[in-house]
Amino acid sequence: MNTDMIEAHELSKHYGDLHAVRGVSFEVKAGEIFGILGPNGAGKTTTLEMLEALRRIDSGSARVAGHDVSREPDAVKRAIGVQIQSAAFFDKVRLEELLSFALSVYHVRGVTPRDLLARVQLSEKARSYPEQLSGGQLQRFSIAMAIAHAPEMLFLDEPTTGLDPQARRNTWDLIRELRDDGITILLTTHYMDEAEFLCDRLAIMDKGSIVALDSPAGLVEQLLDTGFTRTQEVRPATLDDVFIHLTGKELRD
Amino acid sequence: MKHYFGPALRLARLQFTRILRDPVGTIILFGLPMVLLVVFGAFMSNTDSLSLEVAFVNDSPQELSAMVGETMRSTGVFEFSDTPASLESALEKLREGDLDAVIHLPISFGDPAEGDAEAQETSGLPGGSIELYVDESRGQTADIARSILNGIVLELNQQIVGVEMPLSLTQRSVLGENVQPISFVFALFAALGMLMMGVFGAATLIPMDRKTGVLRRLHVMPVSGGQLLIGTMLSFAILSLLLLTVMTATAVLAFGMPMPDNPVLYAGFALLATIMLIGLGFAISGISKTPSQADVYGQIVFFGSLALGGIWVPQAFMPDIVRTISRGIPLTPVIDGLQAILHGAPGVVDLLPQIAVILVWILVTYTVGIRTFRWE
Ligand SMILES: Nc1ncnc2c1ncn2[C@@H]1O[C@H](COP(=O)(O)OP(=O)(O)O)[C@@H](O)[C@H]1O
Ligand SMILES: [Mg+2]
Repeated sequence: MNTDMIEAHELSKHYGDLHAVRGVSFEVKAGEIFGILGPNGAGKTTTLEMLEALRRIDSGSARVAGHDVSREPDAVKRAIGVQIQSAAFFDKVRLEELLSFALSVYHVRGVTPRDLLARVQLSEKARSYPEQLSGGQLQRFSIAMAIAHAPEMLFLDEPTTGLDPQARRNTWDLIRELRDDGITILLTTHYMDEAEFLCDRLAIMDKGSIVALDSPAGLVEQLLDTGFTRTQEVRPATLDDVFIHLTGKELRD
Repeated sequence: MKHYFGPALRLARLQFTRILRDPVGTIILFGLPMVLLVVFGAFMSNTDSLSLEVAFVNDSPQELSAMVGETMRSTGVFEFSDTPASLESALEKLREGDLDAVIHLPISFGDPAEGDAEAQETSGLPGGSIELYVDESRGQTADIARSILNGIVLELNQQIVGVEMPLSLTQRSVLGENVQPISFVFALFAALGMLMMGVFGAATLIPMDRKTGVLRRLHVMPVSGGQLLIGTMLSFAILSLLLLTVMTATAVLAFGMPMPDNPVLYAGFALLATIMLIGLGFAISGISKTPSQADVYGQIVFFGSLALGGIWVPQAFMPDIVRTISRGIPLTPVIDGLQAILHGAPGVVDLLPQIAVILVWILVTYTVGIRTFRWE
């Protein structure tokens, strides 16, 4: 039995002279949250888009949800849900209409746009247009669009970038709920705390290559094994916790 | 089939919804051809009730001068201003633009002694000259007054001499009986409206969606470029046929254009034409990198079509080469076909040359449109 939802083998991508992704290999196990952590320009989005069948793979190969990405792009697209970084939706089309379109494209029956909106706490926005949503609401709506067809595998590209702390924590809760529902998740981030809080396993990517891959705790162990010690005293709470403590956890948008 | 056209139809609905909810663009696309039709339609249906305001200054005591006045009145074209005072004051009013013409019969008009002395001598018939004053800067008004008075002089001469003239001129149109000039301008503006729907509407929408990332988001789903183009084409085709319906109703109800004899042929031809003109928009959007580039290409195609389509310069005045090119551009067969149907072309066979050109353009534009289509 194959429990790997993603098998990426030596993925590589050039943009002209720029070698954006340099032979990246990793596996994502069914049911886990796998994170790609890296600074801007590391090649995270490019890696994701190759796996999503949105961008041609220059060399290397990948299987997603049991399908070869290059040979069966449509089968891959049907099996996965995708939230892309620069999400833009048809303007002047209501959320419920967009969801109903997604449901029909994937031939889904028995699920209504209202069900999906309730899942991401946007029930009262059913008749709004995407351009009327706040950043956090738009991210949640993107997730609703991505899970319309109950995919086995969900790709989230920097799902919390630009969100306020409340919206961020709320999105984290949503991502964990989805994982608990059995959806495998591959996400990218450049926030350490997010990677630590959400990810079962983590690949650290820099300049197109994966430089480390383990669980968050394992990565810390590896570092400590090298004799590393932190110069600053470790406190049991962070400024982020202070902010949430003072301003509350409820969503502001 | 169902799985291919289902999402395409859904996309058509979404596109149509957004177009309707953002009405500014649509209002312009509908407004311009409608305004042209209404202005020209009103102007043309007005020429039936042509009238010239004239001062009739009659200084002649002769009976014949009254006859001239009567004949002028009977044409229904001349409207006499109520103060036929002196010639000077009438000319003053003409200069100020209050009158279209001044007609003067001098004191000697109708006197048998006047005119060609030798002829009078022998015949003893009354003679004289009707003096017409016009403002030459208003050429058309002057021409109309001149030609009608010429006719009157001819008629009076016949009456006085008492013989039928052997030659006469009869005007006939080469077109059918129910042809009215309104159907000519209607076909021009209707074709123009449908062209705008393609080269301004459809041509800019796709580059715009490419720029904002809407297409990227759509590409995540199992939807193909062909499905997107079909959906977009259908939404603009509906809009285009809606415009044509409104324009046709306006021309028929307000300006007395006869209904097309063969409505099915009319609708079918219009559908084919609009599919082609929207394809022209897709070809433009495919070769444009940005929305503003698409806009520029759209303008070039639009004004080029106006110039070559016989809207500014009638095709009869074009040099041979230009006329040949003109026949081949996308707009010309649409104008010609609509005119032919409105002038009573009985069937598809009469339209084969136009339909052939349109089909070739459909092939070309959609091939270019699909080949150059990009999601980002
Ligand atoms: N479509 C593109 N064309 C050319 N260069 C690109 C394109 N997309 C990304 N790049 C470049 O490739 C590199 C990796 O980009 P990306 O995968 O977006 O990184 P990340 O998501 O980690 O920020 C960057 O240097 C970026 O400028
Ligand atoms: Mg990125």
